[in-house]
Amino acid sequence: MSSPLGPSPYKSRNGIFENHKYSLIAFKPGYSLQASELNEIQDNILFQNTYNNEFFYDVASSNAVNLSSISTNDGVFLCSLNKITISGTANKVRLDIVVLNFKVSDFYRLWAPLDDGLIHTLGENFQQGHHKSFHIEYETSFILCSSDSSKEGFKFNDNSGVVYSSSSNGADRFAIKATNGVNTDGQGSFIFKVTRLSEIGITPKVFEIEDSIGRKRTINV
Amino acid sequence: MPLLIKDKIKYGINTTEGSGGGPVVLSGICNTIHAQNQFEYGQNHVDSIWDFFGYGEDSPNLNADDRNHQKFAIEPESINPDCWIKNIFPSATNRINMHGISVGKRSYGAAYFTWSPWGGFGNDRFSNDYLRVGCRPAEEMKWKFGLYTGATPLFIAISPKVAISTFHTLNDNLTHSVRMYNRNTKVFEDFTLEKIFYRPHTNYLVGNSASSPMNISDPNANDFSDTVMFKIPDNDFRQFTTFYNKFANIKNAKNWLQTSTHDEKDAFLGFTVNSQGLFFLSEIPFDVIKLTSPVIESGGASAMILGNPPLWEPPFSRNYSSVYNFFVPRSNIIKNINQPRDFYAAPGQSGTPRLLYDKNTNETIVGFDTFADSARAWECIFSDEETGIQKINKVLSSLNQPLVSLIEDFSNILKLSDVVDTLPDIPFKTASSISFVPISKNTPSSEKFLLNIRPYYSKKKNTLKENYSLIGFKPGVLLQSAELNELQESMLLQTNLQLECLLNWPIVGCKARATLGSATRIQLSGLMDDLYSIPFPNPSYAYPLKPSNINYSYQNEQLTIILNVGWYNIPFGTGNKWYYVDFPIEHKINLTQTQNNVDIHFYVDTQENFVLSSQSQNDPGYIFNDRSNYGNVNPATDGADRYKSTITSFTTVFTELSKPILRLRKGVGDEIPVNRILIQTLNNYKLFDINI
Repeated sequence: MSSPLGPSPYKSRNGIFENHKYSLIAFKPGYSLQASELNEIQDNILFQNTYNNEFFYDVASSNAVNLSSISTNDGVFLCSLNKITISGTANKVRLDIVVLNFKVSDFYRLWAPLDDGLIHTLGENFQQGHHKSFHIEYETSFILCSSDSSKEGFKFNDNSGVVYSSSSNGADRFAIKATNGVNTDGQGSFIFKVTRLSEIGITPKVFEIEDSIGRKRTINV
Repeated sequence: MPLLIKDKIKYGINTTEGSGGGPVVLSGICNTIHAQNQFEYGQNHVDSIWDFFGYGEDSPNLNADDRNHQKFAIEPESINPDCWIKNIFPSATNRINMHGISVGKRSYGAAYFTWSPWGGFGNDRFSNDYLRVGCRPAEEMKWKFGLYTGATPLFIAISPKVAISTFHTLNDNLTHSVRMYNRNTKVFEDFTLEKIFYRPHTNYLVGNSASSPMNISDPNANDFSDTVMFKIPDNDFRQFTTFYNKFANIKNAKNWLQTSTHDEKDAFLGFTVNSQGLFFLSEIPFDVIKLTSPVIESGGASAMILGNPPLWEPPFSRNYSSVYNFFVPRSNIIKNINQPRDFYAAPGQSGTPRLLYDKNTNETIVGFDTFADSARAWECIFSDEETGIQKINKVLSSLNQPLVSLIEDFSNILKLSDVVDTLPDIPFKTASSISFVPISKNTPSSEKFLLNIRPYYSKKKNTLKENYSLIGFKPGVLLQSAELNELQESMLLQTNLQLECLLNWPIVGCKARATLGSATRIQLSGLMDDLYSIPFPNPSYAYPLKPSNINYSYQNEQLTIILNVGWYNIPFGTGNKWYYVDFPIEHKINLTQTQNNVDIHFYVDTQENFVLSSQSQNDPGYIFNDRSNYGNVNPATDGADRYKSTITSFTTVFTELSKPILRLRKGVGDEIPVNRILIQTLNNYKLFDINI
């Protein structure tokens, strides 16, 4: 999904939702305001609203039973289970580019994408009744605008021209960076867990995905 | 009067670059008389920091290498190729007003030097697992958190307030201890840190080691009453100058110290390491500090307040150059870090950016804990006539002042963005990466708003209870960066509350047949599985963020319904909006036991109006002016107006502006008999079912 404000001349840096990296723009006094930054604000808000709505819809149409636990839970939850796939003889679990909700302050939960997706092979011998849990690590930080082209913050400089103008310092960004992890034992906190319902050798293979708020989905492979 | 020792700063830097030994940077130049006094020693003697530290020509034990200034301290690591101090201070001009210490990440010898009342100290980087306080080469990964001095361990906690709070942290988390460099054998020796202790009501203990002239009969004992202490009269830390001079000139310090007495009213903080002693001198009685400290958790670099004062020698042993390593799990240190490191000259410098939390109110104070505490403690200008007690009282008084007034003169402090770009690449974590301090890792910030910190200054936090939901930009008025930040916060707050609401409300009603927003189909039967209800709060009506926001009491046939403090979603124009109620609103109605056919709606009334930006300090719009100068309002700047939305009343009387939030029924057919009061929200959720 792309924002109409992504292409030139608007150049919102968060114009492509799936690559949405910066949740907030941290404007600083004394620096010029960039048109692209205003566009980016709109994209950011649209992004958050979009995934809020998707989540609403998904929850309303699911059998989620554990919603109230989220409000007291500092953890992460998926917007939807639909992006989880299981395929192949090795039972490869894929969580492609997906948006998750992170609690970043007492007030704020923010939707942010999982940068690289998640791939984990359960293996052919992943047996009936066994489960594997997946969790997400994340960090929040301010990324400072930088005149050093090797720094991530370099692209916060004025982008109205063909190249970034490092002489025009831009706003900083507040970012959530998520990495992935797997709990092999299926214990502890998790974003979602996969359980094999069918016996080995039986086709189709049937897996159940359950997330931290009780949404469930069955996948036949 | 500011004390700026430009040449000395530069000298310190040069020393660092060249030798890796000795006091690295004599930063922390402060504008207090206190600091001036501290530096008198150096000023009076020679033109170099070395002499100030007692390593000049008047140090009797110096060998040729020491005097050379280039090879003092730790020879094996004396190469210091990538010290970034030189980049941070390309010239000393306008950089002197640094409040804090900057040290090279590979500074050696008496590196960490904290005369700064700002508690300056260098923590050069964050590692993956530890906050790295102290400057160690990358290859020595285990030295995560260290104080590295070039002399016998003896420290002064210039900022005892911070010392104490941080040492509480250390006390819990210290897992490793001390490495000392034996200058005779040129080998590092590890010592296990046995314990940390502090001793309330004791002051100015000058510490002991086996080779020092001090005595502690049992360094592991809890009772140090027989410890020889030296007390500076009347808690007068300004006497340190005299103290130093006296100390430095006394050849038999042991006898001198042993003839001193201590006062139980004084404070002492310190710890022992095997037979070596590390000690702190706190200038302010511990109890005073403890009681007034607004820091709940300082986390952070305790060592930042450690000093390596000129008293280390003589008379103390010079057998060791010392490296003190405090291993503190990062998780215990950075959890309160949620500010960008925006104005520290040295990334990783001591004033590790964090917010302060008021211990009582839990209010966030914009500031930096070490930085701010120190500032508060030391932004006191004393006169020569004041007694020690008067000075302490003045310090206490300053602690209660708004921080902002204490930091307003920091305008010359380097912005981090000025610094990070000049940092050279180093092998693993670059200094610039330090600046990108994770404000949380799987742990949300306890700070509610993200952009209300310096330099972003979103006013959202200040205006939360005012219910300023919209920003009214006006042509002809300069746009403030803070307004754009507030705009984002406002929008996100609304969307987050909506999400939070979903999470807080039980799913009620028949989802399969529900049509969100189809109010006409709602049948308020109070049955959770009503065929024609909706599963979530009905956006056509008002509703609380969570059902528990609403309470009731029923007594003497009077029913009181209370809207508690919290958020309420109320139709607003063509949409709806979250309003904050910052004090409980209640409405009372009389309901007799025999009343029948009672069907009442409860409404909330709102008031919407603009609050204009104002130059008058008495007007609420005063804060809409520009605050980019360290949070100080500049009334001449003007700013955007704010649209204010307030819940004015909660009543059963319908008006044009009324928004129904609850429905009450009693004695309605067979379903709700006369001895039963049913109170529901407008999505068929039964809030209360009261039998009377």
